[in-house]
Amino acid sequence: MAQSNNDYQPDPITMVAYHRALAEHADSLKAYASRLLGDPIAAEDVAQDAFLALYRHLNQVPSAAFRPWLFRVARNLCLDQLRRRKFKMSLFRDLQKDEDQPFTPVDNHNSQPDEIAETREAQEAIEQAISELPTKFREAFLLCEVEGMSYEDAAAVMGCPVKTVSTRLFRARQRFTSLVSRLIKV
Amino acid sequence: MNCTTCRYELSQCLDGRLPSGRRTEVMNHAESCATCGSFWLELQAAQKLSLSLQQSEVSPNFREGLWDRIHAGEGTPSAVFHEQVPMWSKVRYTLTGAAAAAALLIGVTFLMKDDVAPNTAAPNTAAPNTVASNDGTTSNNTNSNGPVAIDPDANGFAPSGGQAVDLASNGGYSPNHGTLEPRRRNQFQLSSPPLMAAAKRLSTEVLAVETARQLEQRYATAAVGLRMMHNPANNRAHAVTQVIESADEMRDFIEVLLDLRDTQGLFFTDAGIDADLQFAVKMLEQAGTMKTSSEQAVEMFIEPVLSKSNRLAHVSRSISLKPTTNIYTERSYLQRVNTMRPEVFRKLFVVLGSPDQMRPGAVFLLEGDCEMGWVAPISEINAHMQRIEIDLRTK
Repeated sequence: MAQSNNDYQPDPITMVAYHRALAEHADSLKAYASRLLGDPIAAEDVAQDAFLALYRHLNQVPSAAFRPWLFRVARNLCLDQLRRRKFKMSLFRDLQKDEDQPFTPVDNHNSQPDEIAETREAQEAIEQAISELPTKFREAFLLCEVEGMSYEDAAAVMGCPVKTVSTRLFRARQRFTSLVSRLIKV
Repeated sequence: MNCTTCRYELSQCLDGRLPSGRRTEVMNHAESCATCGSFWLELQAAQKLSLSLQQSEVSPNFREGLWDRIHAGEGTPSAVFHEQVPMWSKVRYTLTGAAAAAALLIGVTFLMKDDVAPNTAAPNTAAPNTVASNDGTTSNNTNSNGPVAIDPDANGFAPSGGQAVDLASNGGYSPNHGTLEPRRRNQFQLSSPPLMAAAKRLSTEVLAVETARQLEQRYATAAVGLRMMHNPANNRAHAVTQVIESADEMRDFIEVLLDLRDTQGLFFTDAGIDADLQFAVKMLEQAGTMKTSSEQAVEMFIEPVLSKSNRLAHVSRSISLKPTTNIYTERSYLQRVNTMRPEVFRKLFVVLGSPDQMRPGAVFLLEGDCEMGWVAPISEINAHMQRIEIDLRTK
């Protein structure tokens, strides 16, 4: 049961850590939720809900664990939203769309990957490739590859063993590489 | 090594998860196998692409919206914490809980029968403890007659060399502490370790919060002194002295906060506090330099601060720090505060240092080999002490 707002006053040192977490993780949390949900507006609500939940549990969560805790809450909220919106089934069919929805080709094939990514089309293509990954693989990919989280933290967020994270990440990378192969000039 | 294993391990290699020996084997295979070599290059290129993704930012009113919701008393998100629990699970949880409670009750009853001895621990009379105080002196004391000494090792916690620390000589205790009778002192020593309970690794956050708390305390003391000054029934000279002393200390703490703001990314969530601090430090500096009588100084410079800058009474709730980018900079800053402003540092913390960190004529220097030392904020020690006194009185 949540305490009433009037008698709940976290320790000032914890509040400093909370402010720091807000400054450090709000953007990445929103980006993570946005890529899971495919909806930036709902993602911002999810990020805010996660920080609200953290505030309510500040006395129980050590400051070192704020980041995985926030991502775990955001993930649960996102999955819950996806469930409610009945998107889950469509996400399982996502792989069949590969051939139906090819990536936007990029003209500049001679450029290096980091130069290509600067173009808007490339950004969209990368986002599209991520969104086409199955949810489980996408989670691992977003947490480890995009957010740079350790396998251990990602395992805590996803609620699975570290080995599973490693395997899912490998599968996600394989698919992502094939999906963006047109952008990669090796 | 087959190609499937190699590709899986190349993925781990990309994250630096492979031991160096294994990494060499995998890389040798990738060099000799064209398919795996190509896969390795593709993996690296794909990682560059994913890292180049633009980070979306939260909207400018994200924080305001969050605080509005917090202040409105909004609860935890139902999606996470109020999941539907099946009826059978509820019954199962209830039965398990009841069984555990019954087992605990039986166990406690059984133990209580055996526990005939009073719950007092023998005082530590083995060897005199080395007492290291915060004012830079060491001496040998026994626990029976000397000041209350707390042995960190007795509490399973040895921050720096396991040295006992003399609290009484620190000046951070409430005056009532001295009235505790010896037997109770021993009980207090063994069962309630306020210094250890308050111990923290020093950081800019800890420094900022403790400075703000001490500032609030001095602000309150000065305000009380001012009220006493205006009450004819009180000793006016005594009240003036109290106001001036508190104001001097306020200035010290404000200077530390402003320094933290300028150099360490401290900021105030209430924008008015910054203005109040600047006004206060300016006025208090003038109070210290003007050649006027003490009473005039109070009326001209200190009273306006106490009446206009009332946000100073709640500074600690409105401070925040930008993320630290360099721990070495933070460490050197804290050491600088410790060595350059020992008189202020002493009012903020009991340093849990060891004698080899001590320098002649100075307080403990916070020179750890690789990280900052442990300190106990004075305000938290006092809070723990008050709790102990309340406990003892109620007993």
